[in-house]
Amino acid sequence: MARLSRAGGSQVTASYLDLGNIGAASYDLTNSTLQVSENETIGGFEFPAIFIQDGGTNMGGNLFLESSSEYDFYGGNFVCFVFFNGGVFNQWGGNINDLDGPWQGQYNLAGGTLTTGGLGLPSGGYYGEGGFNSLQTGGTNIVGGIALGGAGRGTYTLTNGTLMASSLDVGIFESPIDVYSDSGNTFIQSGGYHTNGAVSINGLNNGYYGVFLSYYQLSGGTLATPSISVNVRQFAQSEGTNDEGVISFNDDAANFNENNGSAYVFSGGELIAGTVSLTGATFVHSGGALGSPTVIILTNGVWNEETNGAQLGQLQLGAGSNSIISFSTGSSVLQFTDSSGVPWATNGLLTVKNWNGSLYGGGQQQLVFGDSQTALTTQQLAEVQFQSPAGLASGTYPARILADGEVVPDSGSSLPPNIELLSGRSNGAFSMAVQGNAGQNYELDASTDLAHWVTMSTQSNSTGTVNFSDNGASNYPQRFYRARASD
Amino acid sequence: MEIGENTTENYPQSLGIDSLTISSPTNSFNELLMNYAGLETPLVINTTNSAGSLVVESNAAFVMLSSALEVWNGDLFEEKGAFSIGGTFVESGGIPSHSLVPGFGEYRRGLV
Repeated sequence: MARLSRAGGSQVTASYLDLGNIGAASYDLTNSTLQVSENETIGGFEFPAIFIQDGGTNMGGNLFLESSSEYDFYGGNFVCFVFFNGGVFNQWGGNINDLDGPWQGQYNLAGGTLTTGGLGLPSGGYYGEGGFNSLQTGGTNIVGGIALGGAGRGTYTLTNGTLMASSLDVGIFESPIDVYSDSGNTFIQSGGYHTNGAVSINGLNNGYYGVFLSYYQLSGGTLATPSISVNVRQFAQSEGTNDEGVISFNDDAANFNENNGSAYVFSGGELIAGTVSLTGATFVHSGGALGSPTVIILTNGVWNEETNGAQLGQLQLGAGSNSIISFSTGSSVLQFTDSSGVPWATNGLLTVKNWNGSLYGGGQQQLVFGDSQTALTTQQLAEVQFQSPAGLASGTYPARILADGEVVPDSGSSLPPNIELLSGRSNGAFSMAVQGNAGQNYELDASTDLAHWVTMSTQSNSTGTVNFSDNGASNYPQRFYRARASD
Repeated sequence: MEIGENTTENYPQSLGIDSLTISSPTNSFNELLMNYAGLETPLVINTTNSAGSLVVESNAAFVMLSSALEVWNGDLFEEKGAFSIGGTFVESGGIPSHSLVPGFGEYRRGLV
C-alpha cells in the first residue's frame, strides 16, 4: 500500500468558484494548485472576500475581482485573466506574467516582479466609470507601456521599487457620449527608480467640455527617460532626479517638449536634460538643481526665473513674438552660455519682464550670455527687448550687451556716468570705476571743495566701464570726484 | 469532521457525492478537514454532473492538507451547481502559516 506523502500540496479542480457570494469569505492557497476552468469570482456581492496565495498555482480562465474583494499574492504561479471590477490585487512577492483587464479597482505592487506587455489603467470598462489606481511601493514592474486614462480615470503612484517601462502615456479619456476622468489622470512619483522610453502627458482642451488635466508629479526618486512630451498639462517636479536622457546616446531624442499651455514646474530635486524646448509653454524654475548642459529653446515659450539664478546652456529663440523671460523679486542671475552660435528665428522676439537690475550691469537681477560682448550676435540682440524695466519709464526698450556679456535695457540715450568705488585709501590710492556708454570718452575730475575742479584723466570707455585711479589722494584730507562724458 | 488517508485508502467509494454543505449554528464553528488524504483519490462533488454543489457557509471551514478535491459544477457556458464559499477555505500542502480563525476580519496572515 502506497504511503501518502505529507510534503505534497493539495489540489482543487472546479468549473466555477464563487468566493463571498453567501458570506464573508476567505480562500488560502498555500503551495497547492487551484484549477478553475471557467470563472473565479471573488467578492462582488454584499460580503467581502479575500484570496491569499502563497506559493502554488492558481490556474484558471477568468478571475473576476469584484468590489470589496482582495487578492494577496505572495508568490507562486498566477495564470488567470483578471477582470478588475472594483477589487484590489496586492502583489507582495513572486513573479506575475501579464496583468490583464484592469478596468476598475487597484493593483498594488509591494514586492516581487510584474512582467507584462502593457498596462492600460484602466484598459476598459463602462464608458470610463470608476477608474483604476496602481500603487507601487516596492518590487519591480517591467512593462511594455503604461497608459493612464485611456478608458477612464487612471493613476500610477510610485513610492519605491523599480519601474521599467517602454512608454508612459498620461491621457484623458473621452467616451463617445461624455468626457470622464476630468481630473486625476496622474503619475505620481515620490521615490523609486523609473526608467521610461518616452513619457507623454496629454491633456485635453475640449471646446465644449473644457480643459481636462493630466499630470506627472515628481517629488522624489529618479526618472530616467530620453524624452518627455507634455501637451496641455503639467509636469511638476519638487524633489527627486529627472535624468532626462543620456545626451551622448541620442541628442535629438533628449528633448523636453511642452506645447499648448503646458508647464514644467521645477521646485526641487535635480533636472538633467539635454534640451528644454518650450513651445507655447512655461517653465517655472522655483528651486532645485538644473544640470548642465541644458539648451533652452523658446518658441513663444516662457521661462519664469524665481530663484537666485541658474546656469543654463545656450538660448535658442524660435519664431513668434511671445517668448518671455520673467524675473521674480529678489536677486537673480540667469546665466546662459555664449549663444551666438545657435540660430535664432529672424521673426522671433524675446521680451524680458519684471527685470530689476542695473542699466550699467551688475545689478541685483542680471541676464547674462557668456562672458563677452560677442555672446549674442547683432541680429540676436535686436530680437531682445525689455518691458518696463526698473529705472526707466514704462514702455519697451531694446537691449544692449555689456563687455561681460550682461544684457541690459538700452534707454536710447547716453547713460550718465556712474562712479563706483573699487578701493579705499589704504595704500594711498583711490580707485574707482566709471560706468557709462561703450565707445564714449569719460573725463574724471577731482576737487577739494566742490567749487574748484581739476581734470585728472580722460579715457576712452571701450567696454562700458573704465577704471580710474588717484594715486595722490592721500595728500588731501578730503577729495571729491566727478565723471563727465567728453568728446 | 476529518477525512484522512484511512478513508481514501479503505473507503474510496465514499468520496463521490452530489453535494456537500458545511454550516454551523449561531455561535459555533464547524470544520471539514481533509487531513493528508493524498492526491490519488480526490473528494469528488457532483459525480453525475447534476446540480450538486459544495457550499461553505459562515462560521464554517473547509481545510485541505495535501489532499485533492474536484467540484464539477458547470461547463463552458453555464454554472450548473455551486462552489460557494461564505466562510473559510484553506488549500495547503501542510500546516498553513497563518492563524485559522472564523470570520473575515480576523483572518489574515500571521504566526501560529
